[in-house]
Amino acid sequence: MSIPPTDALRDLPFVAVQAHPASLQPSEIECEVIGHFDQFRSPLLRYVLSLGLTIHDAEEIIQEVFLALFRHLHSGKSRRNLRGWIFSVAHNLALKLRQANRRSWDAATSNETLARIQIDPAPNPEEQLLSTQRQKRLLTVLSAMPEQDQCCLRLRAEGLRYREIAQVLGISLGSVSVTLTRSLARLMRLDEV
Amino acid sequence: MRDDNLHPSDHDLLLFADGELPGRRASQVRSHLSACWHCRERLAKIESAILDFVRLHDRSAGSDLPPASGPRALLKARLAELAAASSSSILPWIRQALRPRSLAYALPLLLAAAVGAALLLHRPAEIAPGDIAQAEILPNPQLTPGATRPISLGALCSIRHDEVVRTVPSALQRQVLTEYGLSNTRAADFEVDYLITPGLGGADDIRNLWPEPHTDATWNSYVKDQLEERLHDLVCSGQLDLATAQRQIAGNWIVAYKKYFRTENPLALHPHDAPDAPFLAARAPRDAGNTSKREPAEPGVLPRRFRRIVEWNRPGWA
Repeated sequence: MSIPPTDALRDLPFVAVQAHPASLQPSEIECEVIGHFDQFRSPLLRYVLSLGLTIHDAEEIIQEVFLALFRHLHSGKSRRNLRGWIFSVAHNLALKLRQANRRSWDAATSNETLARIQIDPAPNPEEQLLSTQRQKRLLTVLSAMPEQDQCCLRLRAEGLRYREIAQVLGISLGSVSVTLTRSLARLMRLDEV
Repeated sequence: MRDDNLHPSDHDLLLFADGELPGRRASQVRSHLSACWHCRERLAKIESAILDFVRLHDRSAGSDLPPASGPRALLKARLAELAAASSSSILPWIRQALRPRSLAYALPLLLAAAVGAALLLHRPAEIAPGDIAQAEILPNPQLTPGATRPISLGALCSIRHDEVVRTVPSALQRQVLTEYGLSNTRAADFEVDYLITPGLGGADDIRNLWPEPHTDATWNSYVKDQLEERLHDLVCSGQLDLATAQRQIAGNWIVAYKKYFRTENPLALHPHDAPDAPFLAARAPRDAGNTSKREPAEPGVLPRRFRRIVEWNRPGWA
């Protein structure tokens, strides 16, 4: 069984670093940004990839995110909710790039994801077949959801708190909780069919 | 008062499991769950759906992510470049000066300095009509010292030099011509050109623009294009650092041309770069009064990579 990749992040305190003095030196900000890169690169990469981008584009976006973070910190702007800020920038860049590439997100999820799931190892052939069929059905249900609902689920899976998700997607806190409840209810109905 | 015997909704159960319920309500739900097997089963189903989703997300997004070492090293290099540029920036000084207390002391001095600088630097150039062509092959360093924009080396080199095409807004072109005392001459005789090309990090700034004669001069704008492309290649292949390239093209681009092409005279232009080539007509519709040569080959359609960089560097976008 694979370990959910988000456990470590869930245990982290909410990123709300105290405001540093504006006179912080560029080299100090540089070290701080690298620290954030080490902490958030993997969850960010998974999230951006889940939006249907290629690994090359996803890596490029993450570079841009942390360069933007440097400029953000260097200009003395707020350090509150930095994790939400970082995901927010990545989300916006990914959507912009996807739009520029005119690439179908649906095609990406349905084709590439299925390809990955088909080679997913399971204990024995029978279980493997059942697991694959179930995951295909899950994917079908997921793909039918509005993109905002999928983003809510994926951001939560990467360990973001509700208010951080609201910040990334630009929706209210109430919308996040309602969306997550509705989306999970859809996934739960899978076994009732 | 809420009755603890009322079954919590799925919404409340999820918020409880996620630690998002307010303390009092969380206690009520916890207390209810300890007594109600039915609701514990519902909570278990929610947790099971979460587990299903997390597995799917993990696999669909790629369980074997590429190692971070390469991207980390690249980011460090880009940050070092950005930090070096930031160290020499006057922005922190300006921010410090704009604090209320500093402002009270510094404002009169700043105003005096600004007036002095404006008088010294932005007075219209006095150029005799006969000297125009020779004078503007090289820009007036007081009016056009060159200006750069913050851009990472990676972003700069992810696009070909000739894809970095920009249109100088016509209002800015007129401002440049006026600044050089050419407002009464034929605009079509000049191209408002970048001193430091955008492909080398040059900025859309009046201090980086000058009216370059594009007709009969030996050292014309097409020759300068060759140098720009050469410097871009050298910078992106790691043979020359960006700051040096910017400094040399801003200092005296003809000297730089001779140095980097090892020649005393301009090399022959490629047929496609010759002034009469059809695509240049598309790049510079001079007869329409547009004196900028920075027109894309297909007007209105920028290369994908370039569009991306423009978007990413849009102020306030991030």
